[in-house]
Amino acid sequence: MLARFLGRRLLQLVPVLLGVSLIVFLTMHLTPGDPIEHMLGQAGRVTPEQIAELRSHYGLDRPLATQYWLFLRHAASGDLGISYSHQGRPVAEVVAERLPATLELTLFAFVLALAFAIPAGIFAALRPQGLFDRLGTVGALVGISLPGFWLGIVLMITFGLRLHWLPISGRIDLGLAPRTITGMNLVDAALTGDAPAFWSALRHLILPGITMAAPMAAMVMRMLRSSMIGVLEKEYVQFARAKGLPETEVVGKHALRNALIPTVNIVALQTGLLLSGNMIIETVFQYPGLGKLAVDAIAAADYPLVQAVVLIYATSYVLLNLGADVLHVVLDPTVRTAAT
Amino acid sequence: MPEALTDDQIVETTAATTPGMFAVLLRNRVAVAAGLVVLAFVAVSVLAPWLAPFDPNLQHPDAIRLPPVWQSGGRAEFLLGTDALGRDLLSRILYGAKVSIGLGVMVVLLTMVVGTGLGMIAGYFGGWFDAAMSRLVDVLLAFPFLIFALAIMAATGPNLTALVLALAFKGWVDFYRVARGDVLSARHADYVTAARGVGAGTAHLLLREILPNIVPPIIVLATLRMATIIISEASLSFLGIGVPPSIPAWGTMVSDGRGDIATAWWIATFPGLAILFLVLAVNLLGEGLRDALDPRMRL
Amino acid sequence: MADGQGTRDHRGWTRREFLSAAGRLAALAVLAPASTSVLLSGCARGGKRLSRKLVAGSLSVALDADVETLDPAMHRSRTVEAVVRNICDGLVARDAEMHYVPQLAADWKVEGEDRWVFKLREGVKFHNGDPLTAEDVKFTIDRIIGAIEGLPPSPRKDLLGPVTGAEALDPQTVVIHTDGPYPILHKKLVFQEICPKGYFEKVGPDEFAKKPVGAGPFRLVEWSPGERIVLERFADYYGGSPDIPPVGPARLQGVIFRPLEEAATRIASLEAEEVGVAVNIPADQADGVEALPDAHLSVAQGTRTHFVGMNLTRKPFSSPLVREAMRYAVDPNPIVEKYLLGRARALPGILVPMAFAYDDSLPAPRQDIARARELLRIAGYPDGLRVTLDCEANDKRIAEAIAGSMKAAGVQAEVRVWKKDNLLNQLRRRERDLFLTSWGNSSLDPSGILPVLFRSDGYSNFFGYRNPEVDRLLDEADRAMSVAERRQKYIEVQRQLQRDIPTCFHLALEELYGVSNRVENFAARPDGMLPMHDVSLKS
Repeated sequence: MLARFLGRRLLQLVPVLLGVSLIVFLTMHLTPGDPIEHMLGQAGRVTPEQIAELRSHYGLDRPLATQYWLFLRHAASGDLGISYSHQGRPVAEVVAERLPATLELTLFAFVLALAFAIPAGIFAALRPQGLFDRLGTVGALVGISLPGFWLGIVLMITFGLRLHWLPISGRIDLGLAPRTITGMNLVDAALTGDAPAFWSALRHLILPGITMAAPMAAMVMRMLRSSMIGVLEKEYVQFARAKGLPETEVVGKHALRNALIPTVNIVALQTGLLLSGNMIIETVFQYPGLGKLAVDAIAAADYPLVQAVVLIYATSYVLLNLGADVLHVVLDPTVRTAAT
Repeated sequence: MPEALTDDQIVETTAATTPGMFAVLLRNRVAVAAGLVVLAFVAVSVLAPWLAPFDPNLQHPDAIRLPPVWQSGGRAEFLLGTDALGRDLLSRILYGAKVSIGLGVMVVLLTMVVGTGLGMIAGYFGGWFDAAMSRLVDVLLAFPFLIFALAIMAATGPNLTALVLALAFKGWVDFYRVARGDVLSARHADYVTAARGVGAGTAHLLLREILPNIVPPIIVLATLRMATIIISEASLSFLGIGVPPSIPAWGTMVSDGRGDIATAWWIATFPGLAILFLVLAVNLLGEGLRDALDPRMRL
Repeated sequence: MADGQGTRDHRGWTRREFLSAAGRLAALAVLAPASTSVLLSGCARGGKRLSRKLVAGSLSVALDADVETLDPAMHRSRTVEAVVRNICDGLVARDAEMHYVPQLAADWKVEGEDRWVFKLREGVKFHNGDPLTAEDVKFTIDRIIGAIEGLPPSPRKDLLGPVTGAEALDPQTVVIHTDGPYPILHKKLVFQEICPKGYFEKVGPDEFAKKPVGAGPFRLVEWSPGERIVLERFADYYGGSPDIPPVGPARLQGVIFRPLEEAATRIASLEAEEVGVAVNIPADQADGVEALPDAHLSVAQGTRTHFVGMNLTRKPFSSPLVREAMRYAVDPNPIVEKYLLGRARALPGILVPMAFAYDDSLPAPRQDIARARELLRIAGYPDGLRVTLDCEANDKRIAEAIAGSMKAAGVQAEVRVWKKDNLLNQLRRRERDLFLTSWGNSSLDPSGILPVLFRSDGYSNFFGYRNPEVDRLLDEADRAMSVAERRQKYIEVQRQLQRDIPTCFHLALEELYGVSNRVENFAARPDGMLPMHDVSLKS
């Protein structure tokens, strides 16, 4: 029955994407800003005929409804259109160049956040109101309250400029780029066993990764801590303890699995926020990803590109939540029975 | 279906009443302290014209990038130093509180009224309205807020109306969900059935019977949303698409000071700290309120 | 940005069963393939490791804007031009002093009024090995003026003015035809780079925009959009213009251009030695670069004028008295000396002093508060003016300084910031009253700026300025074959503008580059180009 559940959820993607594409289409087209004028930039003497010629070349002279319909029809055949600001290159190609960079940063921040939050949440829950718990609680609150752009700047100054430990921009040192398989440098380097490339890519990811991971780590840690405290009070945990099972096993096997169930949702939600926050982080670190592409595309009134990027954000958001639900079903046997 | 996750259950607790909630809150020392800090920020934002030593936009061509008073080169009249146009940082930070808090309150009130109202209607009547709203909410949740804000602001230029709309674009959804869920479960509660039995009208039921019961969770949510809104506003201002430049705002100040950070660290640092402290205090207050409302409702 | 700290679970809705109609299945089919195609093409990109020699012997340059194409004919961006100019040479080039020198052309002469005959250099090769011939020049010109069917129109067409076509007489001789006399054609050819006809026709415009081939000193090795452009020395380079020694292949192994839009990041990257050259250092951050132990500042006079313009078609600036008051409202001194640290110059008019026909008899700008207030009073504004000063994001600080300075004269200006292109569009539609913007004129010829801004039908006449006398003078200057006559016409235009005051405050900023001390023979240029042919690195 999981398959039926999955199918139904995937189907729900459709109206969401249609709605999202309609909103972005209307927002872009109904606000002033003309991609053709952007293209011409500082052109000296441009005749109205020249502008009309360009407008018709890009189909901008048609009625709005027609333009939207054409966009949908083309998207159906896998054609996301032609980017205005990238001189007529296909949008899919422009996006595909940036997608791996953003995926890499997001995944890295994701791993970083969980690698920090899960142990921290467990330790804090083991001794509520202990020193570690108090420190962790305060740290988590600070993490949630920090404006990302400011944290990024502070990290850049401290570790990049003052201490010279880490690079402050870019993705990898020149000439070290690994053979492209996925486009994600870290993954490609690992797959090809390219150690120098791996370290270089890792060093470049640390500062933007920490900046991005901070709020997520904080949220996840808090969630895990409180659900863990709740679980540890439950009878079956007390029972396992009474049976004389070692504490690591009690916590690691019985308690953690149950404490993770509510945490999964927070992780999905926060990962969605990671993605929507990447525009600011990528701007601060001049990281060549999707977020920066979106910011530039909006400035250039590059409608097809903006539409494509928004659809990618929306799709990943919906899929993340779907993933969380599937995980939920897998983790929680009671839900599984209910679902079937 | 994994029922454990529906709205109806997240907002299961409407037992605590508003006055009771504040009584419990007063016993939480951290929350009280945080509340005092928030009050202090509010006071500053109101009293900025009297507290600030200078007009926040007054430029001193002979006092450009002065360090704070405790560093060599600092001058006593500019306690926290000056920026690249010779404007007094302290005055700008004091005035900046006005924008952060003012906008935060405005957006939270707007989203709270809209979201709660729509949520109550959807929860109470259900039907096509509820169905249509849930489609809209799904779409909005999946829509990247920042892109919407960028597109609107790129078209209109930084202005407060567009900024409020951009911030409120998705903000009402949280209130909507809470209100809807609460109303849904309250619809068949005894006190509502009883009121209906004595012939109370729909408006009376919604406003006089149900609304008071969903106020506490709404207040908690409003406080926590406030913290988010302040960061969002600062981020938009940082990107240059938030508050107009003639109004001092913390996000703008951080952005202005970015280029100078190697030579004049104070310009971007102090407004950043101001954001951090205010948001931290608001978050702590929100948590205190939530614990007071219901210690089980954790996150 | 956390736009919902997720105080609650938010997915109760999506769980609802609201989908059953088969029509929606069809809609899924609409969007699913689109996202899949994105993912698949992401995997298709191939990459290869750059050689150690290239990496070690390369200079990294931090650009201030991203590059969206590398097709010399399909952009209006100075950044693209600066990069492409290293890959493709043109018929004519400029040396560091902005003198015009033949580059791919050996020489040229004008026959009659409308025929320019260019002799090409012998033995010039494109990076793919093809020889450069007159056919390539003809193809280049024809493509830009839109004479080739089936290609997208070039946004650089207007830069060739009245050029009507080109013809190849023999492999080394090409004729360019103009509609009537066009005395400055050779100056305009600086902005066009020659593309290989054969290669272009083989790969098509899309591929060419990604992997252009030229006859310049460097060939393209790798372009990761948004990240970097890697160029490698072209060993078979013909040597470049003999008027710009040294002649021969480039001295650097390669050049890496990196787009770092934020000035703060460019400076930080220079400090961290991640780049050797950082372009466009804002004047008020120049001290930060000068303070670096391993880098210095390279300075050139700019060819771009920042100016405060006014909308003459509506109140309050339709009044000449108000416009005159504006001229006396701003104090250039603190702006130039304090805020811009002396790295700018306040000008009486729109032309920079280096430009042809610059009128040096115009009075220097100065503030006169009493006079400004008096003029405003006569104009009917006894309590002063309240206006909005619109500008683009990069000019925010200057705009704020100008607004601060005008307060004393009774002008309360509120600064409003826009994205560059957005502001430009509004200005063209004359929707703004008072604005700070800038216009680059790297040709340094008044024809590149005066008709565009001030002719009644000028494409960028933001002011709604109309003066038939100015139109006539500009037309006459365009066709005047004598240098003295042209100069005289342009000087008269400048004086008329001084009387009509469509613009009230002018500023020429220096072009500032941060340069690592390892870099030799690099100097900032007024035109913003980055020729890397002669540059080398200290080992």
